[in-house]
Amino acid sequence: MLKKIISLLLLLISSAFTMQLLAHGVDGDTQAFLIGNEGVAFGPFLYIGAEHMITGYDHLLFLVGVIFFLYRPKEILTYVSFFTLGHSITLLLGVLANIQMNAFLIDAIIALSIVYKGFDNLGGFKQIFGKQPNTKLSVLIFGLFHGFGLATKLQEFEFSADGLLANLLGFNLGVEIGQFVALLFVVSIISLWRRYNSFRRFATLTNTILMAAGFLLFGFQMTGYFTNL
Amino acid sequence: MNQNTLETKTIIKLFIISFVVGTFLVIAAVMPAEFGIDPLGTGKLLGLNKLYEVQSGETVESVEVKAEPKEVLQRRVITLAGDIESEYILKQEIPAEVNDPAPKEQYSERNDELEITVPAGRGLEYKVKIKKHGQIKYEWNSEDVTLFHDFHGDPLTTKGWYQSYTIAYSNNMAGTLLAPFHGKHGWYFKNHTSKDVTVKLRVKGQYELIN
Repeated sequence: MLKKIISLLLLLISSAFTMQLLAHGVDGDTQAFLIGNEGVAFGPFLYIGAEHMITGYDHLLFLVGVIFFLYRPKEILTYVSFFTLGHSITLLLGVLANIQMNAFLIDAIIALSIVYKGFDNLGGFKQIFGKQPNTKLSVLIFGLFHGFGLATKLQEFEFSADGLLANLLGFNLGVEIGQFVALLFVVSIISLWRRYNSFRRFATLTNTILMAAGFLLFGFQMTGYFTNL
Repeated sequence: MNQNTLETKTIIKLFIISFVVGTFLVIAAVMPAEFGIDPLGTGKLLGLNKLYEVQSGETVESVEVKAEPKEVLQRRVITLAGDIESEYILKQEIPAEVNDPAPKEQYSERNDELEITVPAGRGLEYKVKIKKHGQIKYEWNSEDVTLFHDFHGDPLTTKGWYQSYTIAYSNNMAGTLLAPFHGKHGWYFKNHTSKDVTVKLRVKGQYELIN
């Protein structure tokens, strides 16, 4: 289910290989797209980026954790910018430098970032360790990991070198658009909820659920990692 | 950032509860449903292991719908662990070109031997052109590494339709093909391991390289 998106074809045409490498039909609906995907495909990658962000519950849960106790739009903007900066750096770097990482492990770290944020929101660091880690820095650092996660998703779409940069930028822009749309929903729901007493009453529960969800995703990814060794 | 300050004890308690709940859900529900692992027996109890079987049971089913006209290919439900995630249903008309008569002359006999590197976690395929009723012999092996493999063919001009001759997990295979239609026929490999795998492929017969 998680890996659903697609696995793509490697256009590894070296001079020794004279036979044709083509996208394969068995891998799913994207076949038609893959066949045409031998160059710049800005639009499709934009869409894939946005889709990934809107349906990527790990990124969304992390963002819920980040903005949970942010009240002012300016604050939200600042934190989201740090997150965006973080994941854009590693997304671009990961793909351009072709850094190969294990998608399961990266996604497991992303899951732990959700646990971290839930714990942070409960005041865990201040209360237990007596120190609040720099929240902006932590969002930036976890943003870096989320970016590697995005990079591994994009690397599943192997594409030829021409058009790589355009496709990558399309994907990145799509990610930001998807994130923006998702944030619109999340921020409005949380702002609305904040007007009611139940927000404060359930704040602890919500962040505990957030941590539990993070642990669940972590277990999911680790199981995936060990079964795919 | 928290508005209501909680006691240390409470936070630790909540942390442990969330860990237990999250981990329990993984063991009790995610493992049986997604990976077919059922340590607590909850997958069987709740019927979750059926999800895994449906999603990725290692079966290749072919459900023939007899009432349908001949031109419509039977509804194929192929589910293979990991490779076809959701059920892939192919219900398309067989392209007319498949029924074109065989040409008088086949491509001239040749043979090739090559190595294909299938990168970790990726899939790739090799194809050659064969005319209808052209014959080839082939043989491949990937040493000790088991790959997902689909030997199949696409007709020359119709896109999107293809026919699989063999779908298997294997580290080697040898056989012959009498091409059922003029088109590109070839070998798809998917490498689920974390290391690149080199496949040695030998082909001999009436075919032509592409490009």
